[in-house]
Amino acid sequence: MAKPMSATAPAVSPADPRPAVPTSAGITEFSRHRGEGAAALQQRLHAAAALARAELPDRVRHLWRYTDPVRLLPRRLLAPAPQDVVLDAPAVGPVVLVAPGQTPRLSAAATACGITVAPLFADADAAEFYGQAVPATAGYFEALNGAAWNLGLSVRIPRGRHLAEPLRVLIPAPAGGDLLPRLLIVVEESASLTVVEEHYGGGAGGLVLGATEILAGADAEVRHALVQRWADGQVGHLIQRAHLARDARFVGATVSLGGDLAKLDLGAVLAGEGARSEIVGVTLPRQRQHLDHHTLHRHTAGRTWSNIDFKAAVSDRARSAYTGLIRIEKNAPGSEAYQENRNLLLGEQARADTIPELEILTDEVSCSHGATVAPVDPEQIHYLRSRGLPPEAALYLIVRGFVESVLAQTPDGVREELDALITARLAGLRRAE
Amino acid sequence: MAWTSILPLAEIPVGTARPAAVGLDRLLVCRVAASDVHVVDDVCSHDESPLGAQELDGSVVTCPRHGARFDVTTGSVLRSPAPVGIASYPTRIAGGWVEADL
Amino acid sequence: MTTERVRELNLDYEQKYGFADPEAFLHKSPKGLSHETVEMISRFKAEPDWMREFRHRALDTFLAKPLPHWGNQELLGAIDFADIHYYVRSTEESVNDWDDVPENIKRTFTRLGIPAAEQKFLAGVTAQYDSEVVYHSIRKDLEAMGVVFTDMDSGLAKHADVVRRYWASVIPPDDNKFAALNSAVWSGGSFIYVPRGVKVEIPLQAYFRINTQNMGQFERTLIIADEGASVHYIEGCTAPVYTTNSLHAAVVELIALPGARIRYTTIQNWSNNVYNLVTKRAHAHRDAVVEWVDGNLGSKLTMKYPAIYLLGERAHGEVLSIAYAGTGQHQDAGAKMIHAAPNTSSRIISKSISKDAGRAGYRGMIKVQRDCPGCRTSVECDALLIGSAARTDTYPTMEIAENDVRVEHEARVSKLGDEQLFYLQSRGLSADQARLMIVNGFIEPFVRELPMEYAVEMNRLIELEMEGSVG
Repeated sequence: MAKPMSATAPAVSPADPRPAVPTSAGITEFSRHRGEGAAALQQRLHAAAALARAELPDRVRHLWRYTDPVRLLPRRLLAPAPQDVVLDAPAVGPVVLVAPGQTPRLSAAATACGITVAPLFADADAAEFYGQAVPATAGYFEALNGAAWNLGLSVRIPRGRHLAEPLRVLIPAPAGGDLLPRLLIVVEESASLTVVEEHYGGGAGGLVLGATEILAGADAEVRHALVQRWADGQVGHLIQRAHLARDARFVGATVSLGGDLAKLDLGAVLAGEGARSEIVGVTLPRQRQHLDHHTLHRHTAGRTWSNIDFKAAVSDRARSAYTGLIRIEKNAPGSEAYQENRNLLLGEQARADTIPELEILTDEVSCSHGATVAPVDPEQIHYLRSRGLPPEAALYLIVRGFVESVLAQTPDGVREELDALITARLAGLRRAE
Repeated sequence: MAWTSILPLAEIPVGTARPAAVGLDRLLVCRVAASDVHVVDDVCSHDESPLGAQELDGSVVTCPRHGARFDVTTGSVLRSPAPVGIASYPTRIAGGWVEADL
Repeated sequence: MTTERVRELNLDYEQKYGFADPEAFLHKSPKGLSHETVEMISRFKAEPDWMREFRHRALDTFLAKPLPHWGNQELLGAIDFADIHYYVRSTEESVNDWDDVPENIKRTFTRLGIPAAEQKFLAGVTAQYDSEVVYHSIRKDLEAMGVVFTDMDSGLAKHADVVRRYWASVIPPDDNKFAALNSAVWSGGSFIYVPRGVKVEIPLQAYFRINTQNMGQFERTLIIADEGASVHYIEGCTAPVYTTNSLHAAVVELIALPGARIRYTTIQNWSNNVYNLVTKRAHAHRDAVVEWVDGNLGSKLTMKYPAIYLLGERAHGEVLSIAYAGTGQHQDAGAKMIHAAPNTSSRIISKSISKDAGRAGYRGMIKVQRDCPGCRTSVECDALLIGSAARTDTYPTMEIAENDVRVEHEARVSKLGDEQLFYLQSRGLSADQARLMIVNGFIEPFVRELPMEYAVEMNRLIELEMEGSVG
């Protein structure tokens, strides 16, 4: 049980850009107003206590070297989710629109599978996993979301059930407001599920600070596609963590395209023997976008396998920052971990930063990683031009080929859609002069 | 030339440098003498963090973290560990404001 | 003990301190660091005023700077700056008693076949290693070519202009806390100047002409290769060096003027009580080449990231580094390459071995500045783990702001392989022999670059380390 906090929040000095930590009275009121129960309130209070102790991330840490955390701060917390969002729901499939006042639309197949989609904490069987993958004590933004999330959803598929078609979770961002969404996805033992989490909309002045927890039970199979296609001007930070039990399999695919400033912190903890995780991602920053991605694979059990394939193609004056950590703990012998980050610089002022890191604490491992940064190979362009292609088409083909390996590893059922998104973005490419 | 207003001259004591933000740009406005002002990027080329508000040493600005030094009139680097200079912009004073061509 | 600036000391220090002799002060000086100590060090060496001022300002910087927030926080936090002698006293005094030298060190000496006199020097029992004969003949040749090769103190005294021009131009005292410390209390180290067009064929070795005063602690080395010159400098030795001075903070600055070439080889094998925190950096100008060949075998904690700033077109930099960490050791090594001109190139090869509970790793930075087209760089990190408690880390940072580049980085971590062992044993080798062969193969790219006598000793030392007989 969380200790009650003092009635007044600690004073935050004018030089401190952090929003004031909410008081327990403020949280209780907020939670009650939302109609939440005791479990939700308890977790919020616990997170607020962690937030009070948390410092803004230190720029010295590689994870925050390239993106100033101050740019991701809301002005104040405990505001309700803004109502004025554009709803962009596709016509078919099981769709869950995560916006105030929206009810999920599940297809017959999804319903027959026994999938439970509910507000966060409404499904007790899912709620028992809350906070395991993204605990409030993990850091400042984890605690912030834990205390002040204003849009929540839990998804759970029961033991042994399989849903072939992807479950879409659409999260429209409000223009000019703060949205703190929180998702909890529980795939029980031996079940399988594909979830597409799609962030879109927003605009100048908008801020999204989201957290997604994915719990994969023993022998479960989970595919999660995280699509970020915010409008220009949007700023956002998304944390996604999967916890894998024994023999679980996870594929996380990210397509990150939008916003002026976006930071995505993606990861999986391989906590059971035999677990396997694959994280693939593509980002295509352009104009003056600043897109920052972190991938984490942490092996805490033996005979686990992981792979990361992350690609960035950067145009104009944009910037891609990538940090990746593979950490193999002492008690995880027999682990294999691989990682590759390739960066294509398409503009003279384009910039790529990459820090692929390894922390290996036991010898029974096989681990390698690689990173490259290069422009488009002029010979390739020349070859395609000599085959009669105009320069824009040649460039398009080359970059499309560059990201192909990532697309190939995205989950079935979403691949065409992701392909279309990427094609549309690449269609506007111009060759660097 | 596209002149952008940065700061009122009166806000910058002679012999000091003041940070200013214009859109996504972080700038440092350096008043070397009463009517001699220069605008450079407020970013040390060594660790890409701000040089920050400070007292100038003549026309030289010093990074507080590792001692790199730059000539604000040209942006050129004077001392390691900065490997290269920083961007400097044509600057003028107009109507009591410091303006730069960014 | 005061940490305030001592002003106008030359007017009244006799009165103030009751004695006139800096040497006497230093003999009696307590542990710990103060402006008084710095003043006395400078006076004892009869340094010019600008150097004394430099030391005092550096001390202020040292006191103001915090420890790094990264790296081995536990070990760094354990340094007690007040419990250290900052100036090794007179060369006439012996430093250690042979009986105090740890057994494993003595055993290694014997196994490596080190002569008795040299053993005593390495153990700090005698203050000087007498290689005068060898050094003498080399010295004559060098003088004829106009090459200056001397200790840093003499360099400052006899070549003040050159020293002053380049002093701290590569590593200012503000660079980091340990560079500031070195800047305040430096003593010993080498000064080398090679005139235009002169190519020094034989490697210059610090080892032959140094004494314990110059060995470790706060060495400061400055090497300038003028246009078109070339030189190879070697410091350290493969055999373990035992010292009671547990904090070493050296600074090495290299300047390779256009077309020049400098190769700097280090083999460090400090005893396991030493903190070895070194700042090494080179400026490579147009068409110059700088190579760091860096072997880290000893010490409790080494933090060292040889760096090259490629400042002129077509400059080239290389770092070839090996790190070996046994139980109780942390080798936090790496390299930094800053490409600040077009068509520059660099290559980093880092090989680390973590055995038993040792921790060895790579920490590096590759930066390509804007408007530097045509740069090529590659980084290759290999880590070999021997034993389930071994640990390795790789923290490579790449910041690329120019699109016309080729940047490649690759790292591999593996265990001393069962399959490889099995294969070699099936060919008749014992398990020990097989393991040794694999390790030797692993470090071969490094050993290949060493002068022969070092290579031979290096192989012998690795053999001893693998046997576990050196502890």
